[in-house]
Amino acid sequence: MDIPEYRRQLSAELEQAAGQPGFRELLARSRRGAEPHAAAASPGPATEDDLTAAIAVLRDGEPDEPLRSAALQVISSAVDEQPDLIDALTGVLLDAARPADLRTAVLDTLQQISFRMVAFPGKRPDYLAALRSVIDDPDAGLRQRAIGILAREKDEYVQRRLIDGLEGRSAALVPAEKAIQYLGYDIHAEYFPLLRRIVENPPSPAARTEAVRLLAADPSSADLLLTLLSNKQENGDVRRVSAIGLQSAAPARFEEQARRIVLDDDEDDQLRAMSITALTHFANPEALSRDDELTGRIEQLRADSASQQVRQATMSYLAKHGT
Amino acid sequence: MRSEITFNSNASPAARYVGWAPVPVQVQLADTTGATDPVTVRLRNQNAAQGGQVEFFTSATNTGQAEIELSLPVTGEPADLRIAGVFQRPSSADGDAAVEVVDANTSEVLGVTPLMVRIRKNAATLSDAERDRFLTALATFNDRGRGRYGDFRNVHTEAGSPEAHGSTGFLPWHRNFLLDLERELQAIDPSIAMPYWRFDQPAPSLFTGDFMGVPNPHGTLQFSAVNPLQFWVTDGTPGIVRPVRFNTQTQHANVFSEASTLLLGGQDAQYEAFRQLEGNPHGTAHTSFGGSISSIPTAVKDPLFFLLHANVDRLWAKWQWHFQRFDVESTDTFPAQGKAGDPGANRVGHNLDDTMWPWNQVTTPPRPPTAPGGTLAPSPLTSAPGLSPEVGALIDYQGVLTPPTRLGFDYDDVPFEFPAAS
Repeated sequence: MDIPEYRRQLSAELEQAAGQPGFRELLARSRRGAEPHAAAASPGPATEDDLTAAIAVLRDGEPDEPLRSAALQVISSAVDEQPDLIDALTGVLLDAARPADLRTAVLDTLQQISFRMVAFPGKRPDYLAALRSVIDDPDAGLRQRAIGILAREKDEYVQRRLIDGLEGRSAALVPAEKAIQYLGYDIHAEYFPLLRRIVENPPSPAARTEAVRLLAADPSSADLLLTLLSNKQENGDVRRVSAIGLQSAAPARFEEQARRIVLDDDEDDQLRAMSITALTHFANPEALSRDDELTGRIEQLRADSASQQVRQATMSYLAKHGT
Repeated sequence: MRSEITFNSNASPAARYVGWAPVPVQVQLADTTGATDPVTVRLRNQNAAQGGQVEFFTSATNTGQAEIELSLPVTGEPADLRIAGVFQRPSSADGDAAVEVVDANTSEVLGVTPLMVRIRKNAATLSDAERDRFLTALATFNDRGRGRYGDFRNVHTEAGSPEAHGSTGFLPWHRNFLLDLERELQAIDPSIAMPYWRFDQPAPSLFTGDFMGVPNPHGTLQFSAVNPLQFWVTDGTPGIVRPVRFNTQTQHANVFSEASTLLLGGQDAQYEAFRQLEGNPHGTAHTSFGGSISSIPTAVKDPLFFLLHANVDRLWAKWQWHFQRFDVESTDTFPAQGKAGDPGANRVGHNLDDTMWPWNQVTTPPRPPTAPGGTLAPSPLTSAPGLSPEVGALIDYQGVLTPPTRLGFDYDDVPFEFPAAS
């Protein structure tokens, strides 16, 4: 590779990119016939005019997506100098009269800014308070985004609302599987009885699978996970999630069961491949090296299995543990 | 008679890794029984058609040589030179490059030293074997939630966030965070180099069950039955939640292009302006998904975090190369000179001479109350940036101006060049 030529190519790409329209040009185009503001033609950092125009674009509910994105970018890039712009964005987010897609774009921008919000500690409580207002929004997408952010912040208010929905004490904010998933960001022991009840009497198959996933954090649910994994009549997704959960909660019991699955002619191939993969990477190598029955079975599967994944798993196993 | 080669001033085979930046090498004769005169030897790639390729340097020039002749004394005294990988001819497996030392007069092969041109690559271009080695090392390091990955997860939290975000230290801090994990993975498998997710291009092979997973309809990732990431556990809970907000098979994330990012610093390439990339594309790449990766306190639960940040770091590295921003004393390269407490300084951790948490293990305010993970993982290739590095030690990562500051990594599309003569 000719590095000077490589540098010239990149310079040409940068020159081309520099010619692409920015916020001012997009704004001028959208206001065709109207007077573009004075700075429209000059490049450079955002001016007060740019910021005023960008906020107006959002408050007007601008439907032109590129212009809207450019406006959000202008505001985002100026937040370091003017943290109060966060308030302007929050205002648009909370204005239910604005289009949901605009408010969603604003929320995404606020969340992107939140990675830098440590620089503006005074803004963070207001941001989280705004999100709590949005969790009852009629727009499901916006609602879910806000709930997700709060759940990852371990927000007790949203956790209580999610539990209330799962318990049937109030209308559910989101489908049960999403509620369970959100609770998983801050799993508490008091959730486990509820999760076990959901496994027994699930509102949906997806909710049941998510509940099983979270029960891995509960040592006393190891028996339940083993029962689910061992039951060949059980749903395949539930068995696989049980396997992963059992491996986390009780590795020795999982390895014993994984060995059975590998040796069993009537087992599901995907579960078998998964079990071999788990043993390959995480089981005690010395114990495996003494297990001639297992090694023989894996060699046989490498030669005979109709499943490509099983064969692939056996090859990894034998490369690491074979004689 | 035979020859021996020592890489990176370290006789151990563990030091036989190079990138694009030339590294010090010593060649010497061993077992010279009967020889009386110096021996002229030729060094070259053993296989110029396959595997990683290296070139040889005897001075600080940008033009390496495919072969080089040296005169080696029979006393065993070493000859010094430098070796670098040939740009865009990286290895794909450990030891797939080799330096052959041949007696220039007799053509007798005096020694063959295998090595690796170890380069951080675009994840979308990894071979299946490279991908699987990376996933295995990652899963081994996490060890179903019992391993040291938990320390990394516990660093990137709300409490640690002021050390890493929202100011000038954002890029150096994350460069060190990546380097720390990469070195830990290399301790498991030295062939690993951190791959990057080029988020401004579609990466369909990355978002598959065989690699970083595919979300089910409510966003929990699913993996193929042979992928060890299916056993990923953080905070005691298995699984990774990552709903997508773009079509990972046909689209890129909703981020600035590489060219637009490189222009953020303006015509005069100022770091203070360039660091706007913390918003777009960095923040926007995070929020191209829902789930763990889209919030600071949970982002590291998802190992895609490190591939995303490898790309952010690559963009910085490419900007540094293109605009020659390696001089730590220049405010164009890094504006926050000095240290916290100096007049006009940034908050602690974001100035050139500040040490970085958690590697400094300081837990007194305003630093966070705990410092998970200890000091930076060491490397057999270099002592830089030190176990408790200062911000400034992360800047000249290739040792362009100061070779000892070389950190031991390179990107597949960011070359090494000595500075242009002024």
